[in-house]
Amino acid sequence: MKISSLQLFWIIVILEIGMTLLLTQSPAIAAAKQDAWLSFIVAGLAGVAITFVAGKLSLLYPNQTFLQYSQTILGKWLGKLIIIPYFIQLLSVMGVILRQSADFVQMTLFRNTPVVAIILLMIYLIVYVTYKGGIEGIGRCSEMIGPAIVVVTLITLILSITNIHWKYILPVYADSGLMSILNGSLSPISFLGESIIIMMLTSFTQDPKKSVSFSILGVGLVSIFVAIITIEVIMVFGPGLASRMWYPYFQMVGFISIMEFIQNIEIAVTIIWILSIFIKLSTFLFVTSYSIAELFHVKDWRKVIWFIAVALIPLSMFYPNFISASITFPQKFWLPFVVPINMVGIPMLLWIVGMIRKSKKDKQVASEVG
Amino acid sequence: MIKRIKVYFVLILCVFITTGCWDRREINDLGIILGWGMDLNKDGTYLASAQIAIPSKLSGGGGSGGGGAGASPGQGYYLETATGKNNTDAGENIQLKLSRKIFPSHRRVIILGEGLARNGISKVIDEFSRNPEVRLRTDMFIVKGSTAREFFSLPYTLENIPAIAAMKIHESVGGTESTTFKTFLEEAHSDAGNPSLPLIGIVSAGNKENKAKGQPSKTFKILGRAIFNDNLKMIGVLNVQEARDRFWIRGELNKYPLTVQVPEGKGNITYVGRKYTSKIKPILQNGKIKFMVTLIGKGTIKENNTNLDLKDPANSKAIERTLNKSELKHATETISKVQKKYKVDVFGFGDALHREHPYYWKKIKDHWNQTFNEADISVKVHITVEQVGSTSSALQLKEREIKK
Repeated sequence: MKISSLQLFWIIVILEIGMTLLLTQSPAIAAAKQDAWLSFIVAGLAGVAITFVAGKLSLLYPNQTFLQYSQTILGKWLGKLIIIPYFIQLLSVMGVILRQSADFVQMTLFRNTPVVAIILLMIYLIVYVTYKGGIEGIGRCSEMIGPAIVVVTLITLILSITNIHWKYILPVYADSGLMSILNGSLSPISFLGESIIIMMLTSFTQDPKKSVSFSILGVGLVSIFVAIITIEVIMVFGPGLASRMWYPYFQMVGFISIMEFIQNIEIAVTIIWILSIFIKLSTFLFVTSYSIAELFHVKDWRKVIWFIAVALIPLSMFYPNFISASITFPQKFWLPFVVPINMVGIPMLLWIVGMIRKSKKDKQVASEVG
Repeated sequence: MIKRIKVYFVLILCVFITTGCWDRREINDLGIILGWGMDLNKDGTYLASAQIAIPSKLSGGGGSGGGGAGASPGQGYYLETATGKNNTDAGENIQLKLSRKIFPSHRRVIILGEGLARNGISKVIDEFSRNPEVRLRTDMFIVKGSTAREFFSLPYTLENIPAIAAMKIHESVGGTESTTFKTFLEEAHSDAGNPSLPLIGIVSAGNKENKAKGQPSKTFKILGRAIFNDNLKMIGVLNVQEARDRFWIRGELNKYPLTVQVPEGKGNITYVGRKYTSKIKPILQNGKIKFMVTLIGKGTIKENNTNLDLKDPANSKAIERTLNKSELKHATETISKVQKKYKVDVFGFGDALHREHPYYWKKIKDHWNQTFNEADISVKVHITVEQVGSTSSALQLKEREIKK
């Protein structure tokens, strides 16, 4: 079960682009106004740094899974303990993603369909691809879906050019200031930082070293791409209107009308969003099932999928409404806990301790040989 | 065997998830709304009017010709009204009379009565952007001296749906393409500048011969723009020419035929621009704010009733001079009328100041309209005649009549 570096690249790109594009623009524009694109550049730099640390860490022991090398680095018990926050992160976020995507699909397409029906269909899909194909199946799907997402997004970007007003982007910096720009970057960072998943995926790649650099490239490209789209969203609606819309990018595509002929194409956004959610959830499902199986020494990791699939229904229906999944969850849980602990703290700790251990070991080996 | 059972099991499961969906909506179950109107009743409730398409009458009305009576006016739509506390409430009351479900996704035109506009439209327009079924690409009009209900009762000869006619007229006279509502929202929520909406009026149509043929006696016409104050109450009107000055100053103008009397040539000319642009330069001097507006037009002479020979560059210079002078006077008058009478910035001077001097803007943005009223605004006009049409001097003139 191995994937190529290109496949990992596309997994990371899809993982990052869908949610970042739809869910982070509004909070970023609300905080940084017309300078929100600077927030995305800041967030991109942070995302690249997080990916770099996670990548370097997983390259210390490229042939070991996350659970294996965390135990190599921190010892048996601490190494096992440290994976618990990741289980909490992945399981909770899978519930939220399912809920958010179902809410979005319900709002834009199926107004009378119960949310739980949309969620069940999505769970069915992700279980299917993970069970049948494992990470290899997900990788192959990504190679197909990734370019499609990028092409559709590019087309919407080009078609929106007729609606833009250059002046909306001005004045630069004066209205927001450094603190607002940094504040606006928090929401995109929390999504871009999900690239730490490569800590758990590198061991499944054919060429770990190349895969890690591809992933870093992927995060960088996505943040530049989203920054450009944010500039366009601001130039179409102005920062005032865009910050009050839930999905400014979706609205921007809905606003396209070329010669009264090409219009009402926002349905394409719903489709690429569903595709992107599909890859994201399948990857998370795979990683969670595989790691749980490893932790509890379950021989066939595929059996764990069923337990998680069932658990996902209450996890996604737990939120009483749209607001609690889209506003309260990121603000009260993701930003104060997941970002500092799971995305920055633990990878840094593991990387530093791992490097010290390795250099000690190298010295020992050197002295023994010498 | 087990494998076979598994396959059957999956296939049976498929039956459950491919039954179609909760949200199937057949086209013949939808009441497609094309135009929507709101008026204020005396008791504070609203009267909503909906122009609903009749698909069977719409299809092939113009194309197939001969067949039915499809092409006659007023056939492709149906008008229904109801009162309610707001848009949705009134819509539900309309639904009580409709066999088909109200479907607002194709609602392109929203008409508001002047009575409602004078009373403030802030409490009416939220639904036009909140409802996920509708699109932000909408045109909104105010009906001068009348109601939306009255407006929708008028048939229109050239279009199957009268509401669409309003939109098309607005576009063909140089208005923006279905973006009036979005622009309105942008201006309404910002500190810099006040919103305005196109104004439409009911006038008598055509002549007696038309009436004899059974064509409508009344029609509608673009009358300019309605200006709103900060509470989104309509406070005044710009006529068509003034509205065009406003578009030009904002750099959004795309059509403005200028007809001027040229003294050198003893007659008038009409000039139509190909491209109109503008520059607003805010100048800060000792804490006082001044604006320098430059209006630039490039275009062609459409009609020349003077004896000027347009081969001669001096003559086209003379025409340019006259055009510049006339437009300078007109634009200055429009600006000072708005400054003195309505006291709100509908030209985008505030936006220009905000972009150019953002830190100064922060200090004055809360009382921008007052600053705007006192601001000294000077206008410069640069009109260039790029082309003169197919002839140089008028062909009917004798050689000695032509001024070279």
